[in-house]
Amino acid sequence: MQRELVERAQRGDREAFTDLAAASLARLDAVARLILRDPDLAKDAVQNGLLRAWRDLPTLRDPDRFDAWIRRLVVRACLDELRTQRRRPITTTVIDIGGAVADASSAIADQDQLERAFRRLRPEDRAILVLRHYLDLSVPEIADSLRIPLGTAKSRLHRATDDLRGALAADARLVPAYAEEPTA
Amino acid sequence: MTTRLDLDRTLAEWFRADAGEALPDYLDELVDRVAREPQRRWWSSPERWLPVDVTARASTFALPRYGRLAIVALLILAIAAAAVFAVGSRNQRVPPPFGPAANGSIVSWSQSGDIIAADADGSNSRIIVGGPSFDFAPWFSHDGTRFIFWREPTAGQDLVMVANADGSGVRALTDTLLYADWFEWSPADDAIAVVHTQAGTGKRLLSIVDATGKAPLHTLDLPLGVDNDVYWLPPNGDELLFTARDKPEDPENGLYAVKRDGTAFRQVAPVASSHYNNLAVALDGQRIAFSNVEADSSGNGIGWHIHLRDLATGSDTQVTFDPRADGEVDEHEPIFSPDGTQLLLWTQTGDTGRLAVAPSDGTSHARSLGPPFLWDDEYSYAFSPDGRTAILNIGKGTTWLFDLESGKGTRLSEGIPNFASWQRLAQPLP
Repeated sequence: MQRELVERAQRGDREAFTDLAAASLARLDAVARLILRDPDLAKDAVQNGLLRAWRDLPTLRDPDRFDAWIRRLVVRACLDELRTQRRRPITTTVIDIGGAVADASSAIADQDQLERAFRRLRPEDRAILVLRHYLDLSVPEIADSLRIPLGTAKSRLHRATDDLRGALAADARLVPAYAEEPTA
Repeated sequence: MTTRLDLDRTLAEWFRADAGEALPDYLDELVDRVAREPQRRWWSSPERWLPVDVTARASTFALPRYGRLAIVALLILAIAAAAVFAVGSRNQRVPPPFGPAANGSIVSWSQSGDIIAADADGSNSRIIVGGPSFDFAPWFSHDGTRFIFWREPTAGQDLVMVANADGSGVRALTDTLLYADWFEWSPADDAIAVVHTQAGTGKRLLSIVDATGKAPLHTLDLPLGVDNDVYWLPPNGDELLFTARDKPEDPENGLYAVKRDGTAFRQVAPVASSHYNNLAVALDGQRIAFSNVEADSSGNGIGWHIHLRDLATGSDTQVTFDPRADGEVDEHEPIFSPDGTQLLLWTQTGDTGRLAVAPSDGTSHARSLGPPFLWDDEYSYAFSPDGRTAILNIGKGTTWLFDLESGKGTRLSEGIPNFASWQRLAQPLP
């Protein structure tokens, strides 16, 4: 059924493409929101990714790869959004609370901690963690989605997890004087 | 100490909670954007014609009983040419409709819907049709004096507009909003073939727009829905060549021709599945190039391959420009050079695409041009009117010009954001 829709959309059938987009929109929007941490940016990224999918559909060689392909386009659109966002300056005052700091990851981080730590990650690292832990993609599927070699996907996933752990630890050491402006 | 597994589990739970079950509310907005966005194949064939000498050669095979008629026609053509020359010498010289011409301006459009122009070397980019309207897809006439473009006053629906080459004299050629898909100037630049989608039925219609804007839109009564590739058959444009199918969802399409008044509809090549993509038509009106999706020895047993077909004899030949083209490499979207001796195409190996140039008869392998690009990058390419340069756009704004003799590429400091239409000018006097 989906293959037939893809083939129709490849021939310019906009209704078929609308059906395809509707079927995947919620999942793609969730992926984009998780990576970007901003619903408006996510909306832009999903729309840009899907628009590009529409434009390039005639070149999609294997209709059965539509899902992976459209996911890749949206993830790339998310990374583009992150790279092009103007970063606002962040002003924080660090207070050294001294003494032993609890291992931040020993007590499972609360959502605010996760949020702050996740935002500190590189765009590619955010994407790889979302693909792995939200979409439950295998490492080869992640490599395909991000267009990176399998070995790179493995090492990047490992690094992203380590960096998140480090960011959580750093978060536990900091007492911000006032809330950070999100940097998206 | 927490294990990696703990963090993984925490992340998964956080992601699931954070993602929620919310349904995005912007599907309609997306549909509107899709409705006004053409698909890639629509952009991809800026040069499609073979040289005048091919036509001359073809005419020598005319049957004797047509000889007198041919002589009369030649006399008429000679008189017409003399008249054009006389007028041109008094006013403005224009190039003949086909064959190499001098390089003029390059027009394109910005993401905000302005028509922009650049000099032939890509410099001096400037807006030539601006303002609040969303204008896109400018396309030069054969004589280089005007360009048509779409104007979108309503999302997804467009007017056919025309302007002088410098952007002055903007005016609408239709008062009917169309769900536009494709347009193409007739060889004489007196009419424009337009493909548009019929609201409600989704059927693709083929209409003729008068280039002066004085005659009403004339939609041809055809039994099939027309695809995006429609060409006026050279040398005189009496017939339009196009692919068509019964319903949009049908995988099978065929190749057809019809006279511009809608009569004499005929099939010119058999119906097949996923064939005749990205048509390019030769000046003699007989030789065409296209790409088929067909069985090969690649991993998934299917690939894109370029074919040359003689419309008169029906002979169809798969041509291979890369020695690996039956398995590892796909070949796509051929475009004839202005003198007809070369084809631009792109080859795909895995996820990587390369622009390539090759002899149009397929007698030798293709020569790659420029950097590789990802196959699902946005890209477009074209020959310059003089046939000595190829332009390649990758993404939004990375533009290369390649000298086809040396293969040397120059990346423009200021790229061209969308596909380019290149103005043809009269060659300098010897």
